[in-house]
Amino acid sequence: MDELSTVGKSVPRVDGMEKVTGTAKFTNDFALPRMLYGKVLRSPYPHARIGRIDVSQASKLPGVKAVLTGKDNPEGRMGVVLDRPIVAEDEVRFVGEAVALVAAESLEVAEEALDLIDVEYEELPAIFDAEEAMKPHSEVVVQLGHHLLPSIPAYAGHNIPFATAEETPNVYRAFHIQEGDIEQGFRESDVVLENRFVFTRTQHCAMEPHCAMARPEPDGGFTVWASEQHPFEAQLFLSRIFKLPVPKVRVIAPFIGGAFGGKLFVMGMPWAMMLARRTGRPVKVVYSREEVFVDGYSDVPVVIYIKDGVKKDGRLWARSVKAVINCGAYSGRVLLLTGSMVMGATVNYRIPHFWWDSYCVATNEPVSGSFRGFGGVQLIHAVESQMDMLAKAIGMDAYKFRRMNLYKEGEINLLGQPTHAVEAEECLDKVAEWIGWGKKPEKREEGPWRIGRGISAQGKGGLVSPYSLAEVKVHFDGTIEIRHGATEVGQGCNTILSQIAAEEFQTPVGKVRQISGDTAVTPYDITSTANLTTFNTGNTVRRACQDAKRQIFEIAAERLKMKAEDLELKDGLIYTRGKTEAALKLGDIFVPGGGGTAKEERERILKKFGVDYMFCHGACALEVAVNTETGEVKVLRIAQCHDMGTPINPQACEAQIDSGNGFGVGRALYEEIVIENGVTVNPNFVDYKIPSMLEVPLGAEVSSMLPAGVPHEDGPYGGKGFGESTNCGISPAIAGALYDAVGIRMLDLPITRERVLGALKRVG
Amino acid sequence: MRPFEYLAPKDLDEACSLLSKHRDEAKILSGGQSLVALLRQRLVSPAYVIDIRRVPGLDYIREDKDGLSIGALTTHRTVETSPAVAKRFPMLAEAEHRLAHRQVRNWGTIGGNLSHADPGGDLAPSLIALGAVIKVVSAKGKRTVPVAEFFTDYLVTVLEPDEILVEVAIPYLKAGSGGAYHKESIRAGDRPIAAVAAVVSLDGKAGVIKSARIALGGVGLTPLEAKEAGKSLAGKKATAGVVLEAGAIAAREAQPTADVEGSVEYKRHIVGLLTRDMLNLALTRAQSK
Ligand SMILES: Cc1cc2nc3c(=O)[nH]c(=O)nc-3n(C[C@H](O)[C@H](O)[C@H](O)COP(=O)(O)OP(=O)(O)OC[C@H]3O[C@@H](n4cnc5c(N)ncnc54)[C@H](O)[C@@H]3O)c2cc1C
Repeated sequence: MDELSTVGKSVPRVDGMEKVTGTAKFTNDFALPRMLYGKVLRSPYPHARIGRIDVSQASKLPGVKAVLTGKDNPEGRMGVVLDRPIVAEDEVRFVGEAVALVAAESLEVAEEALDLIDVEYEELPAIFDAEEAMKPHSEVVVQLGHHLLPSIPAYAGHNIPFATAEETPNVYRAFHIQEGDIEQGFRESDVVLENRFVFTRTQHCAMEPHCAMARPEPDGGFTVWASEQHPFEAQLFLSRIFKLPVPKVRVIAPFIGGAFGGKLFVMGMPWAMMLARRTGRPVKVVYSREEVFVDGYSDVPVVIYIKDGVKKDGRLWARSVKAVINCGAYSGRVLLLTGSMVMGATVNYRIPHFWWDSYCVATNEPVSGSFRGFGGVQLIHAVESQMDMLAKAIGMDAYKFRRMNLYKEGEINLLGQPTHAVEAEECLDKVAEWIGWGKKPEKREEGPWRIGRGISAQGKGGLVSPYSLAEVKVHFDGTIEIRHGATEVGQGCNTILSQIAAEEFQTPVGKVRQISGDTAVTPYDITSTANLTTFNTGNTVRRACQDAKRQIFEIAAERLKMKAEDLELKDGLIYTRGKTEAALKLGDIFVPGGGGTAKEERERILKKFGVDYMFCHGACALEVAVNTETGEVKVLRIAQCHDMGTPINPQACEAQIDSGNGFGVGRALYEEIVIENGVTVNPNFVDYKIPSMLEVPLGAEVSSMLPAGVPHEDGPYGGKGFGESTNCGISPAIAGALYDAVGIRMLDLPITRERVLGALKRVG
Repeated sequence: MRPFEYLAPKDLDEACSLLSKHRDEAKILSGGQSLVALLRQRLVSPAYVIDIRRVPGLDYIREDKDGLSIGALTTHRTVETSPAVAKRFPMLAEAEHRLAHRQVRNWGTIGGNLSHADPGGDLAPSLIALGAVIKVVSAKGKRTVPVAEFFTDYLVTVLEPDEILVEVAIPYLKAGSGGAYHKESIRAGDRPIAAVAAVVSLDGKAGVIKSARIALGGVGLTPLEAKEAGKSLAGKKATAGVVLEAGAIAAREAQPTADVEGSVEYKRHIVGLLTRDMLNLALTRAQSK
């Protein structure tokens, strides 16, 4: 490939200045004339029948403009299988479910009005444990049957035909994959190891809570500003909920203060719209931090049973997995998790005999949602912990054991997809070398502190999708405007996409302007999730730029009486190939008489790629100190290395890895939403422990590495996505390091001090 | 948050008269680090918020003849970085250093911290062990209360609704004395799983403990003094066994409840460990003085 000028360079973030100086606008920074404040009254019961709701006192409070209940619901529902009413109707199914809405002139009045609403409840039996809920004769929470939609994306594999509600009640969706003969695989194995891993619920903890502002439009439609990762999906859902033509709902996603999978599914928007529809005024609904914890579609509790067989020589021979996923009271995006979670067990290691079952189960806990890694954190923790234990059982080094089982270029993985542009081995080698695998730690063990090391590998796939569109507009002054539907959720996509456009037009990044996140003016994009944006939207922007250049060259060629193929563009100037003096300014071709204007054309990229997925692999190695008296675990040093094809912006890639460290350490050691009888006990940042910078290694104790960079043949400039993988490998490496330090094996997350101390007491 | 009227008295007299007028309907605002959270959650809904930050003469650290006096409006950060505190009571500077994070320490005041009476507050254990007293004023007059008697229940103190805490006075340690404080917490700057302050005085010649005071944070409805643990040391030679025994007694004296910071058993376990460690550190400091 020719030398690139912008792609592959660590250019600063294009939105950095705005964000650091506080001028960047997030949804809550917007206010409209005559705007009202919306608030939600939430259920105190995990399962109850709603009796009479008396709103008369609340309605009389001065400043209150509307009090709505389930009776005022629009026709449509929320959720993947459209089962969640916008406001609860006959029943509430979890603590925190919306029961009534208030719109008032001030937030204080709206809050006061909530206290004045009187709701009669008749409590019903509730169930919280997914394994209990799917047993025959369990209290039925969700009536199955008509909710089943065939349109749920299947990933690779099969949806198991649903058993009857009596056999496995509450199962929303089940999923199965198999390869080889699992029983034979175990028979042929020299060592078989089986364990159960339990994962509790965690929150994304995006700095910006969910927020939506809806304005009723004269044509009966709405404009909605929202902190939403996928404005096009929101537009579609909202139009269905309110039975409106799709274009009558305009969704604008300004800057988003963190998403991590938690800003999907029209959160808050239908409430703001219901209230706006009733009052005829704009309404803003902002979640409090407590509301984010109880109804922010947190990551899902999962129980994983995993059984592995291995040959004495180190070959992984058979693996069967059963995952029970606690979906909560309604269908969130986790219905898709039954399928997507399987990636953590299918894309990294060669396994001849494989079996996978997963179940998504309804309970009376809050609704679960998608989370960075989409099942990867849980499954990779289980798989990688097993890899350690298997290596030990056959007397092999944990690093060598992993390395010999990794897929190599071209091998077909268990999803039936080719392994391509993967540098898993190099990632593993790099982190092992950095941590000094096999050598003694430099830090001395003092007092009650012991030191240990762990290592992990991880892989994740992202659906390659043709459904990303981009428009490129070339302005008179040479500014390149790109319009795309991806959302800047903090991951840095606007910078990456600017770099790609700048590269195509051979112009500085500062000459590129972006318009994004507004369904009325930007073309469709499938979503900024699942490591997708660089690959899909990146490719699309690149092709749109190429098409724009083609049109410019055609016009210029006519003027210059030359062939279009002989022209080049650089810094807003058009050159004849090989000449150093410019033939035309970009602006010249806008001047009438010269051959027409550049046509704005919408680029439709509907060519399917040769593969359905691209895969990204990585590895983590780290060192911990554990206090044998208190059980405290400190991560001392941490190295991660992830492949991403050609890194388009190396510094941004390293920053993604750094951010995964914080996420991963939090999940491994601290984070857990505690729910007692359906009630969230710790819905705030005092009681829900996310690590601060004092709990995560910094500076010289951290190494975020990129491998050499094997280009992906279908990616933009050979690049691919990887941001969701960087938080998945940390907990198994910590668990391994703990074993190394003090000989205890922690299966469940989080690995709290008390659990460590308990395990230490058991081993004596 | 419910609406309230904001009042900003110019001096202590005006603050006192506003308080005696509005009594239960008013709340004092100092750094706001605890009060604002209570207001936001509507756990308190005063009709008047009386902001005393502009009241002059309450922000000082003074080395008096018998002890150190700290004004109520002195921020945590000022105490943390004060050379006088570092010299006289290193345990207090250490406690401040692990209190929340610097942003909170820049705003929060010691008067607000003690009046808020959080059982997990970082200052009370050291002040109890050091025998500090609190000075209070109101329109009716002044009074002095030992810190050990200041806290009466969860978030409740002996303060009357019209009283303002104006000063904390800490008597200097005698020669041959030393103190230490540590909070064990899940994250740096968190609420404690348990916290222990220990102050010991040695009988110079005999190497015998003359007296010891041990106070606990985060393991009861209020900060607690572990009186039996302290007494168990008096008159004994400072051996490892004696120190361990004091830890076991303190663990029994603790009255923890289970929460996200830890279970009852774990908190008692930590009290035992910390009492041992803080006594050892206090003894080392006492010997070097
Ligand atoms: C994120 C965070 C972390 C924290 N972590 C810790 C920690 O680790 N350790 C710790 O000890 N504390 C911690 N705190 C609490 C905080 O340090 C103190 O409670 C705070 O400093 C109180 O002081 P203030 O000046 O802000 O009081 P305010 O919030 O203004 O007032 C607190 C209460 O005291 C009353 N009051 C204030 N001043 C007076 C006075 N002079 N006389 C009478 N009554 C008065 C008020 O009416 C109110 O009821 C934390 C707080 C936050 C926000």
